[in-house]
Amino acid sequence: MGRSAGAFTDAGTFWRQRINAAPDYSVIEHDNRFRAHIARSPVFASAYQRCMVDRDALLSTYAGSDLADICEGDEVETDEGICLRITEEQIHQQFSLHPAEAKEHLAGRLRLIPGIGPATERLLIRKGCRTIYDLRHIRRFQNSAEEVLQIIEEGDFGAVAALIAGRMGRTHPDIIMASAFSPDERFCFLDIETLGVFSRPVFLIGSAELRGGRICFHQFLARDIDEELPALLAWRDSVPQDATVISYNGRSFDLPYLADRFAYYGIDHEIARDQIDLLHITRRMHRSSLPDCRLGTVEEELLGIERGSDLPGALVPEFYDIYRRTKNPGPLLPVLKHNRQDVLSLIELLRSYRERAG
Amino acid sequence: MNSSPLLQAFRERYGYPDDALFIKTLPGREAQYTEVPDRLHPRLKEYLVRSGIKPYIHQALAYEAVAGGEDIILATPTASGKTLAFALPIIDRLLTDADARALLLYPTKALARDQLRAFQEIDAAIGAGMRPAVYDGDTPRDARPGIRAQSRIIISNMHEIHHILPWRRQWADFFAGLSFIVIDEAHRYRGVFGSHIALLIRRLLRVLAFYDADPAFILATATLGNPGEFGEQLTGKRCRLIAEDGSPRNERTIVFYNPYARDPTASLISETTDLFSASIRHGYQTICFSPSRRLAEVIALRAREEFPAGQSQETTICTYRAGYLADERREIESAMKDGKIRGIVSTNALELGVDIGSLDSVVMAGYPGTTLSFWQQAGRAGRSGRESIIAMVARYDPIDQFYMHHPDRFFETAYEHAAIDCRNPIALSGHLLCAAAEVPIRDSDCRYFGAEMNEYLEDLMEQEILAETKRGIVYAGSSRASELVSLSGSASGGYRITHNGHLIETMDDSQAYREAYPGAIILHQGESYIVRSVNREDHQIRVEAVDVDYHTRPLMKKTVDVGTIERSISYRGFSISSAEVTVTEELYGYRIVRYDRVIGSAELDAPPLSFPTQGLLIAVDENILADGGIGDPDGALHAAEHALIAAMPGVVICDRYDIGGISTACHPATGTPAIIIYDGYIGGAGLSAKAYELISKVASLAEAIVSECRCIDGCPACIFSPKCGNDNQPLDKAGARVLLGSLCETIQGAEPMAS
Repeated sequence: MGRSAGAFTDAGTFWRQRINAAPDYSVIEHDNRFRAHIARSPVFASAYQRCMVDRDALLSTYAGSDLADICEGDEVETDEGICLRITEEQIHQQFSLHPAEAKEHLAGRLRLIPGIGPATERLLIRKGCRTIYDLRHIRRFQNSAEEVLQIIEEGDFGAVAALIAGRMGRTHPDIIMASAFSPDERFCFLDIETLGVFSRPVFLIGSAELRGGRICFHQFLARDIDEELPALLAWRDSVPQDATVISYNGRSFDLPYLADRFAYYGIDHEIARDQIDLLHITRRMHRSSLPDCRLGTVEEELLGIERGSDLPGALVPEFYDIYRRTKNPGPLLPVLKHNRQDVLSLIELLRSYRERAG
Repeated sequence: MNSSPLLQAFRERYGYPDDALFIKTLPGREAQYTEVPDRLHPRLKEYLVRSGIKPYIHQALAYEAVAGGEDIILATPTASGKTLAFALPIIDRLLTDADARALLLYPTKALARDQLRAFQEIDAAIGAGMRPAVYDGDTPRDARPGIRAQSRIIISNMHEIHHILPWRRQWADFFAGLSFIVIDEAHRYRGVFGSHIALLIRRLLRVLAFYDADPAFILATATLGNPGEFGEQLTGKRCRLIAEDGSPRNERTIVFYNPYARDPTASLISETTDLFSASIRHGYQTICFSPSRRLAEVIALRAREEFPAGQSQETTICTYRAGYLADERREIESAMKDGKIRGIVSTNALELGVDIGSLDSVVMAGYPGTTLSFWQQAGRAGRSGRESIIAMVARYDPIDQFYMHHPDRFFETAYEHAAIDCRNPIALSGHLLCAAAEVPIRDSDCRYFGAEMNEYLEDLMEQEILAETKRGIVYAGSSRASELVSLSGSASGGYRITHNGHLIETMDDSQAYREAYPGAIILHQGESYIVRSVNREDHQIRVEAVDVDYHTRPLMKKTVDVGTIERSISYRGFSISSAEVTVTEELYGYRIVRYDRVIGSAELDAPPLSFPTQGLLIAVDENILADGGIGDPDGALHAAEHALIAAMPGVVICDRYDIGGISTACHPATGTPAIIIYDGYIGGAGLSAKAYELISKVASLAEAIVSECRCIDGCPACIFSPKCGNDNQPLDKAGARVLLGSLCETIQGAEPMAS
């Protein structure tokens, strides 16, 4: 048929072309910031070009290499098969802010009492009521003050966080105070990498815990799609049942995403009850002072961490897809690095917020 | 009432020659009620009694069938009380089973909201607390979790379901309790769109099976030729047909008017305006349906000139088009109800979207294409206790003229058949991708997707879009599956047609190739647009709105390669087959046509396009063409092809633009002269496969169209095709008549030979 364009040969080729022609991200020509606001998953053209150069370099450097050549890991066995676990340990310096300090601070939050809004709070303070203890002498607040003080005294993270969320919103920075009630061992710092923003496999779960003064960082990697469920199970089994999950946008993304993937495979999985989403808190505290609240920006501005050439999140699925389909581990390197930094930054961000709170 | 002044006026004005006007009065009918079903829940019974509602027979039959565990398809006209037919079995069950839930699917948001009101009323009246709610694209985000958790009756649409399924975790409780799926206006889900919907319903059933739910279907459709078969193809379940309509009906008078009997150069616009104005002048509140927005506007403009301002204070005529805001719509609706507006002109595209209640009279500018549409539009007339008149002005094309010559056959004729094809390769493989993103696919899923499933799964795994795991086959593509697959318009949605950056339509590659070349005029919801650019790299077509009175017609060379023959039957002289074919079209220019006159042409340089589809192959023995009555064998084949294509929409529901054809003196696949008619969509839409089954009807309609047309050597009412790629040349009308006559005689008379 000469130069005739075949509209359809087989289903595989047809959909492959469609997928390649419709990436989930959009490249913003000339790095135009105004256009970036209206595009979905924008990637600036300059970053995109650089990543494509990096990708090609990685592919040629690691041609013929094995995954074992780029990272050290051990295989974890689960009921549903194996996945790869990459482990790294670091010294953990105690977070500042002791439960006692947190209690003291929270006892000064009159707004935790039902019926007291910002205006009444100001009024009461002017009248000399500085803490909830003082409110016990006012008849109207007596009972609720006792109740709130008891919750604060008992110092259970979940109960205190619920109190703060109920009175002042889930995004209130006082959640950081409440975090002092959660023992370090219960924290799970979490960030996942997926093949897309929704209804596609998760292939990398980065998860850090604090044990005995050390940061234990794990990455559970699905080397192919059939290792997704093993990675999910291995991660689930590595985290304490009552973990307090700390994430950046995890309340809307990472945790429901994991729950969706468990459900996809027909496995019941409760979303962690206790969560701290540092994105919400960052937005509340720094929206006006930061150009944007992406984790990368926060690292630079607040933590002084310089990522260097980081892979934009929007390109992560494509890099994993190349690795999966070529078995060349090169493109996986920047993904692992990106995920690792995201998780470690969560620890540093919480540290920094605790310091400020203390 | 046949002697009303308006009909008298019609007779005087249009009654010459005799066959220009046909008037038939359809008698009215009393309602047929029945007793309230015995086993109905007491609270529902009480509600019916208290509200003075006696069920019509079809409502009671629907209740009994569904309560007895059957899936049903209800084929009764609009306004026959379908809501109660759905509500009785559903609410009955929801009252007795606290976990039961129902999903109601409507084709438009407006219909969904009307139904919501109806269900809320019943719910409130019996205090059932089922919280009926609409869940669609307009539902506020923060209202959604509450609806999913608390509403036991959710009203939505197919597009929403397509996007909801991958979020099934959030729907687990609702899905687990789902006992009923209502699909109203089911006839809309036919052709390529219907094939997508049928596959979407398979996906829904598969997800429901994951939650151990197996709901009953309650379908409602306008009258079709094959409702039972259609219902089964759409849902995969055998549906009991309920067609005993017990609702009352007014007497209605149908008027067919053929301006071309007197004057072959008559103008559809003037004639329609004339009829429309006459109807309004006689005091009838009238709606006029037109094939395009431009025509609608011209008719409204001319009709307004008939009633100059001030002459009669309240004679307002307005147009009703797509894209009105809710407020504007309500304003028009209330002005209609108050009688401030006396006449309204709408496009066919909106025959259901107009919610203005009933009027006195309907005028149609041309036959609306299917008996189904005709009766839906006719259903707009019929105010209780008043005379209603439905008048159609015939166009100068084959089906319109055929019914003008045989109005009796219009009333006798079996309804057209609706086709659905769940095996379209793009639709099927696309929905497999979506399904794999919802629940891992296992071997047993071929009960939803057919035996072809495994072959497609192999293809898709080969490309690593799907991946095999211990739990089944999993979606692993890097784009969202439900966004890759578009339900609307075409199988693949390959080309996006945009106007000022807004998507107005999608077309598959083959459709876009034929209809949306640079310079082409395309119609969308009655609006006309000119194609400004076609980008074959990123599949974008940019159009601009234009107001023109011409259309364009592509010029192309076509070849058809015949692949696997799926079914075949041989007669002496003819052999008829249904086959997989590959069509190659080569566009080399287009004609600019105004009122059937070519006023210009342009050249195009487009690479040829080939696509697989389904075809109907009619191989003709050379001896038949050697008949003395056939002067020009090529012309006879070509004219017969056009007549068959013109006849097909009279038998299978489709537009003639949905199908294409070629005729050739010697086709390599048969070694004989042949006519091939194919579906104009990649992978096919089941149209020519349906025509194969109904070939006898298609052939005899084609024969009648040619033999009964009074022109000498061809006209738009018989063998001229408005979309012929060869400029309607060569054509031999007399020869086609002999050929089609022989074809009909053979099929109807002879026993087929063993094939």
